[in-house]
Amino acid sequence: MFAPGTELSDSLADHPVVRFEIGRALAGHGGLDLAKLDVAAAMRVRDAGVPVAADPSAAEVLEAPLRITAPAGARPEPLTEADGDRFDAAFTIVAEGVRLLRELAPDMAEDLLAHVSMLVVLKRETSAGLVSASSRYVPGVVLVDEPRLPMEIAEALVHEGAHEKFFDLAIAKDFLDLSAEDADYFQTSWSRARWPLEQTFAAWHAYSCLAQFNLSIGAEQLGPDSLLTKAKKRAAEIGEWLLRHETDLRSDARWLLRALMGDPVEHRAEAAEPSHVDGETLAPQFSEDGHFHLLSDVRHRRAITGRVVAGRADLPPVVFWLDEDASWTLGQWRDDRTAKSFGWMLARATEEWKVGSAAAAVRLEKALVSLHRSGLVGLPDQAR
Amino acid sequence: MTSPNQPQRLQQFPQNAGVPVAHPTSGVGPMIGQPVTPVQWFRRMPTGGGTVFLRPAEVQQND
Repeated sequence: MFAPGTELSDSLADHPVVRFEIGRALAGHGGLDLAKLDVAAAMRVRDAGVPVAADPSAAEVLEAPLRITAPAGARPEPLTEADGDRFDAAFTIVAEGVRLLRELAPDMAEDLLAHVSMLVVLKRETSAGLVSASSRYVPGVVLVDEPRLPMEIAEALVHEGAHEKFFDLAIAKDFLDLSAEDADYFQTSWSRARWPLEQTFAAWHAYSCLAQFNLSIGAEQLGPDSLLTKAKKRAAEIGEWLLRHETDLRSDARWLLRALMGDPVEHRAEAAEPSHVDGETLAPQFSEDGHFHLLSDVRHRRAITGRVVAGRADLPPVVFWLDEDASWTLGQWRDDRTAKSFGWMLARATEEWKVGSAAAAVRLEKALVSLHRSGLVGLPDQAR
Repeated sequence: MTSPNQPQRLQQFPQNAGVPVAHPTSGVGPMIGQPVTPVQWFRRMPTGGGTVFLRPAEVQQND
């Protein structure tokens, strides 16, 4: 991703197959094959409100999500333009389903569809009982069985969109760690299936969203496999179990659980560090003449949209998203990697952020503390 | 007041809650109030990586 000459647009970087390939490479499973990314980018989609895989090459390009989500012994095949009128008919239902979701639950649609970057319709004779599916390893792609009703699509997008949002939250927030694999399994009362903690949390989140969606649907005809009328009861059952096992969850997962279960929780305030600029208290190392440096193995890139990703070339590599202030701060080393004093950065921040010196100092310190804790920026007395 | 088509939320939010923030085009971005957010997408998934909703006959794999 950071190789010289590699230019990833946001739309390509958000492509599910590109995210899968980057994930594989960064996890140490081989290098990044740029030719594969080009092939993924060239796969044609049609806009039904969400991009729908349409290219006859989809079975090949989307091999990973098709394989990962395939029911045992099955090989689901995507419906594409090569299937002619049958694809057109399914596409029309998908577009109507997306429209229906946006009409019935506009806020939820905006919230969840932001995490869905591609929808794949599976040929019914190959789907082997699969109603809908998604994969954390290929974030953003939703697979659905060939639909008969728009409502099937609307419900599938809520169900799988909730999973996709959970996958994204679990990437960027403090949700689960390795200990989740050793946690108790949850057993459903309705099917006796046993789920590991991550699947349990994902299912609870999806059922919670489905229960909420069910309040919006009026007299719309449901699909034969709809979970909407069962969702509230199941969400409550799983949620109660998760509350009894919340010590296995990390802080942000506990917060989400309690927030959606209607159980108040205190949000931890970040500890402030003391020192002083224009009447504000700042940490001792943030004196006006304290110099900071960018650590030598740090690389960072800004997309046109302003999103910034920074990486540290450890094994395995470490990757971070940066907010606006942190990316501005790291950007001070874009032309050279010489040490920068807090006072120098503060003067620039005050001017460019168009705020007072005290407010800029607080923001700059917060960014520098976070960059330091993440191993991206060195403190004045820290070896490079 | 929560209307039926809004996700249920409580009022205790992290700082900057309530400030309108545009969604990233897709995928994830930095978290509000957290300058640097580590990306952790390499953790093994016990289910093999998929969340699959099957018809009731195949319910053992269901999510």
